[in-house]
Amino acid sequence: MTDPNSNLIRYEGLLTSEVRVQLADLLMAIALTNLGSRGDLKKLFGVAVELLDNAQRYCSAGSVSFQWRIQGSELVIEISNLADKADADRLLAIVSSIQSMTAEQIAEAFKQQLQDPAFGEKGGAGLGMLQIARKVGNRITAAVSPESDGAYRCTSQVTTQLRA
Amino acid sequence: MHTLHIPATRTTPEVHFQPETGHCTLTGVSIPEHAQEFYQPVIQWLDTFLAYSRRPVTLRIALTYFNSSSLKALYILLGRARQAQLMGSTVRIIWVVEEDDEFMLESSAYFAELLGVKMDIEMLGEGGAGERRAV
Repeated sequence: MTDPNSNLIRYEGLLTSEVRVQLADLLMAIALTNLGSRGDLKKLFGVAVELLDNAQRYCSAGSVSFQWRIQGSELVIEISNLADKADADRLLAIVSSIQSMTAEQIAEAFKQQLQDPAFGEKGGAGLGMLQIARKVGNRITAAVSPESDGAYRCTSQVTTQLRA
Repeated sequence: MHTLHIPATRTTPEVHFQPETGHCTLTGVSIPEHAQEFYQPVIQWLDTFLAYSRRPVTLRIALTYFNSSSLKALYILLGRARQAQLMGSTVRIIWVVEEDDEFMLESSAYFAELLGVKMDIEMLGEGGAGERRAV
């Protein structure tokens, strides 16, 4: 039985390619052990992978903070990293836009973005946040705060209901 | 034309494209950091093969999971296959889905809708046995 409020995983440090792979492996193992009967594992794993991909792609410096925690009947996935202003602004814009969308609008925006053959400068497909919203709905938040060195601390949080 | 074989890693699928049979398979997980870089030679190989060979192609995609940038790369790959179909080439696409995998089924539906591409869905049961249907 899982504690009704517990941290399943918390990582703080550099998000290297190797760490990303190890975190992905660990997340699948944690999901299987702790959430097997309470959620769609592939969806939850997918949300975490998209957030890690974004953090790695747009992290401008320093370490990343990542956690999965259970709050009552919900799973909260949170990631925080430093980014430059343009990427921080882009994150806020996409999340703000998704928050106001219905499921149908999210699906439509996803299809439009999928049909755009271009990848971004940093190799992104522009689909990550929309993919998350497709999987778990639009309970996504993003917060941005300036740091002293000119970078911006970006924190994204995704909340999804677990099955009883 | 050479065989394209890229062994699987923890983040990329095994790629095995064989010119002598026209059998092309992608197998495993696809969560590379740079999907565009990974899939570029795969798309290029298929383009070249379709341009110079009249041999029918079977493209079998058996991925257990992929990230969104891989999804876009797969969209581009399947778009090329669709173009070839429209130009008269025989390109059969088999999309392998594990039982109850809504994500993979939904993805195939997106491809079918957006590209107009026909795919045979191969459903894998627990024992790995396949059952096929067309979309």
